[in-house]
Amino acid sequence: MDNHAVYREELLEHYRHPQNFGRMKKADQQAHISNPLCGDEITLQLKFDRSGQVAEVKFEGRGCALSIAAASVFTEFLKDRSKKQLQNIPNGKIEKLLDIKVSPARKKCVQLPYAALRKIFLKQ
Amino acid sequence: MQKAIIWPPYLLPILSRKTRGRPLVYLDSAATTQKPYEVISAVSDFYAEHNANTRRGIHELSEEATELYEKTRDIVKNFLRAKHREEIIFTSGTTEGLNLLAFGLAGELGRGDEILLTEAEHHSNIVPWQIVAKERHLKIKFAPVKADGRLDLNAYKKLLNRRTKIVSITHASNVTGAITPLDKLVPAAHKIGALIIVDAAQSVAHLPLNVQKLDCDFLVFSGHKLYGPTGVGVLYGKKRLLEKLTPRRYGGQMIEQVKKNKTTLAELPARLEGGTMPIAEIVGLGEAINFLRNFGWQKIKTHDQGLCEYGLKRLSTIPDLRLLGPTDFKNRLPIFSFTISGIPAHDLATLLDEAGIAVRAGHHCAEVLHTALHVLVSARASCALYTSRADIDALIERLLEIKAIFHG
Ligand SMILES: Cc1ncc(COP(=O)(O)O)c(C=O)c1O
Repeated sequence: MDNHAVYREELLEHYRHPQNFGRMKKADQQAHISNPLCGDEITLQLKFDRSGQVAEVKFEGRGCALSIAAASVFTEFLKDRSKKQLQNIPNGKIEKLLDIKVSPARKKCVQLPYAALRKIFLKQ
Repeated sequence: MQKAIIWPPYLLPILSRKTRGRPLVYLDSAATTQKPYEVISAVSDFYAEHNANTRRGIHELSEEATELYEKTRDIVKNFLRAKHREEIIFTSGTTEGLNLLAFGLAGELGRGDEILLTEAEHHSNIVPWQIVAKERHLKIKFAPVKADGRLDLNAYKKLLNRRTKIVSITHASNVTGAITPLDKLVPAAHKIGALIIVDAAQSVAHLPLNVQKLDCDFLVFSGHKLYGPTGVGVLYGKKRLLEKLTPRRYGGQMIEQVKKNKTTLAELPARLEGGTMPIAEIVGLGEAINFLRNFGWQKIKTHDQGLCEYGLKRLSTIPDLRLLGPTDFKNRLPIFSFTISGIPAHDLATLLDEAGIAVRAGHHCAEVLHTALHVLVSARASCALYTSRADIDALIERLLEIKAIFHG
């Protein structure tokens, strides 16, 4: 089989060794979100510096390779961005970052970290 | 070794197609079976030649539609070995049957009464009871499964008591494939005066059912897991119990007479079949049952046992694979749910799909069972009469490839 376009080595590396995985003691903002159908769940934590930019970002959780890899690249992407920039991230950003097209049934997995970010801003 | 069942492609049209550019290997029959040509053509022939509403028209078409509809009731009656044809009620499926029972029996239940389920139940055999239990202050108890997914019979018997009014139990698990020993469960339930409901959604296409011999009070199944159309199912009930069951759908031919202040309901079976029914699908269900009966149970049993034995043997060769369910091939259906450590179930399913292999991932509407077996979700490969050893070989080969992809 050559056609595992979604599961490229790069994506699997993110799954095996996710960036920003862990928990910070004192986050400014955090949200927990789950997808009970798959058993995916993540907690996304953000800390801002004085100018309102993301100073630190962490995520913790469990899930399929897609959701973990998604959280890994997405948290990298969030670093150093302003609150305003975070609010303007479009839906579908993670698929662009991962450069994949997933089937409708798997969209939720990939979008889970994005949904966590939205939840943070809904709370405010 | 058993002889494989040979399928000319025209008999099961969909199996000749490709998915994701690869020949389809359909291993999701526990979700729904594919439909043989006879069933598809019975449905389209009905529309092309006999379509009319049943029991209402004076015209010839309506007579024909009614006759086909009622003939199917006889087919089902004989299939289940029921005593009376009015004991066969058409529904939209297992879920509707279970809901009809839960809400239709609720009126006879009161504070402190108990409903006994098992941990292996499908959500459709848990949630309606939870709703009814809340309304009527009932208690729900779950008979536990053992580590291999089989029901703990002793625990089941201990949970039965004078307050147990209803036992509702699956005949075969849609996750582990374990077959429930109804011959032991039914007498135990009756001994303490409880009614027993059998969810035959999974077993109906695999095991002969004889409701009189089983002596169950109610039994439900769906047509679509039995090579029949979607949108149709059956509720069997003992006549005296169905007569007391409160309907859920009022209107149409279930009515005998309506005055401004009073309505009288029709007799069984119409009493429980409100509104226009899915007539074409019901006719298709009759054809599906004929299709199954033409095979004969002995052939089906040999086929299933062969697949169980082969599937279990091949799956056991995959490192890090954990099978949920019994590892002996007796008293189980060819349904294989599994996890592979380090490879989440949904990724397994996506990677299998890329090779044209259709399986299901998730908790398969049996979250309580997954919790009892200490897993979150699993992947499930499930078989039917058209499943061959080659399909299982394709699964195994691809699983090994996926392991290589994942572990890099
Ligand atoms: C054991 C069991 N019960 C109930 C159901 C529900 O069947 P349906 O969705 O056809 O109503 C299923 C189907 O998934 C099942 O496997």
